Amino acid sequence: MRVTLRVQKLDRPELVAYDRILKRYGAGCYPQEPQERADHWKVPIGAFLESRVVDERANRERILTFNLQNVGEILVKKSTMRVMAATRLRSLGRNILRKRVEISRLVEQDLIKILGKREMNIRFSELKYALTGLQPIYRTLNRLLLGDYPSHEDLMSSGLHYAEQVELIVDIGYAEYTELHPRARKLVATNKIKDLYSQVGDMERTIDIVLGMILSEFYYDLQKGMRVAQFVPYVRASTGYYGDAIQFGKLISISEDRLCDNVREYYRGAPLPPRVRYAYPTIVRELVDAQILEYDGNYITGKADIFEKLIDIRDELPLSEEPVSFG
Amino acid sequence: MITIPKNITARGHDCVVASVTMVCMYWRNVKQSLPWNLPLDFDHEEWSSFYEKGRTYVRKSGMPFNNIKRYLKTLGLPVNAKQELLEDTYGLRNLIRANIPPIVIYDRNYFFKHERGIGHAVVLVDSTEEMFVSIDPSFGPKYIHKLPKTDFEEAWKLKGNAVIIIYPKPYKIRERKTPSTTLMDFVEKGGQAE
Repeated sequence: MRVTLRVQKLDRPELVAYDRILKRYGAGCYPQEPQERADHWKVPIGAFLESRVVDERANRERILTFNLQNVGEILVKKSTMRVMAATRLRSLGRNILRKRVEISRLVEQDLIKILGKREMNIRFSELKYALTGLQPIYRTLNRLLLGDYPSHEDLMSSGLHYAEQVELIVDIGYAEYTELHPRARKLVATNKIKDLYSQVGDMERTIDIVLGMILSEFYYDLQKGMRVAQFVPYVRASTGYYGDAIQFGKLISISEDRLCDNVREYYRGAPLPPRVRYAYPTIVRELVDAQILEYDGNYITGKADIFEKLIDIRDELPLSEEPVSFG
Repeated sequence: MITIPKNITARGHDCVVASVTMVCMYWRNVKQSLPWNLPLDFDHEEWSSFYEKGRTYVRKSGMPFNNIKRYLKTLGLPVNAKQELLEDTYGLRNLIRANIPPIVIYDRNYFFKHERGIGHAVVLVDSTEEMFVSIDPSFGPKYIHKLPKTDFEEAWKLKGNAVIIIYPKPYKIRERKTPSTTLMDFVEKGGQAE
């Protein structure tokens, strides 16, 4: 039996690159616009990455694809129309993961900013494990509100690390040092914190608001510069939920196991946070107490006001929905 | 029309593995005299492990064709695999007429919504004047999906007219590489094509 096939001549750089892509990477990748170089063409590679989002209560699955640009490149020699050099499959996979992490980071950054807003009424003091790392801020705020102003020396004697955290309260303008001699210098409450306290009328709530502001402003400084990372598991769990909800386009209900998988998927390749001494049920309960998440029977869902503020980020994500969603 | 003995449901990048498995099942059914090391019962767990093993070759960027070759080679099946970027649908029609089910990769997002998207693999089983009939692993339990030729050609072209051909070892697939000659070259060579 004879079968005749008419095969395309590989006479264009994108075709040479595409042939290579199919052979070495797979159909999830595609060649971008070739760029002219001296003796070769540079063909950057883009990749479509699939993402599945499930609403377990409604039993609906939505499949979306992320379009990631420049995850690799193929150099095609002009004189021979052959591949001179190409990104290895392993490096390409790593680049895809890195780009995916960047997208997760976008959601995380926005979420932290929103959680820090006063009107969100987040009770940060309910996040017990997070608070262990932020004791210097918590204690100092308490003292300031009680009018027990600590001296600079006093703060420094607790350790440089302690004073460094306290500086963050000064940075957002809720405390200041008196301009006296360094030895007699004291940290005092500013009118800003006094006004806030008089408006709120509750010390615990005032501390929550200031903690939120500090976290939203200095989350990455705390985590990387000061190595205070007890808050990280909570942020990751929240991002794991809201990241999926944003992709889905509405609040979804998921199980704890699914949330755990989401966090693992979102932060694959990212450095591990400090080990939380208790499991996900406790983290979730504390996040519910802090009014970041909610229970929906046996499932976990989000807060509508947080979601409404976050949903605008969906337009910024390089996301497209598959024509077929599986119900 | 080519009859695939068992349809497999798959999603995402697994569509290539599902298509490869379905085509292997087809050849197992049609070419029983070949030295197969897989049973004729397609519900047998050896076929499940065949599929699961294939999934281990899937990468974040998809299923590289080299991996399909490697995967089939490690299993020692009496089939060959070939990847081609065809010139047009003429080759697909020829393959279907010769009862060789081609696995085509086309842009399904573009097919439905005219937006660029991920490559999707399906097995073509029939060709009419107006459409191709495909077995789409993501369309279970129905599986059969009719692809109007004009729309399909556009979506297929975006993926380089790529096709994966799996055929039994005694077969020979001949390629006719038709060179694209420019008018200038044609005139310079005294009116003779290459």
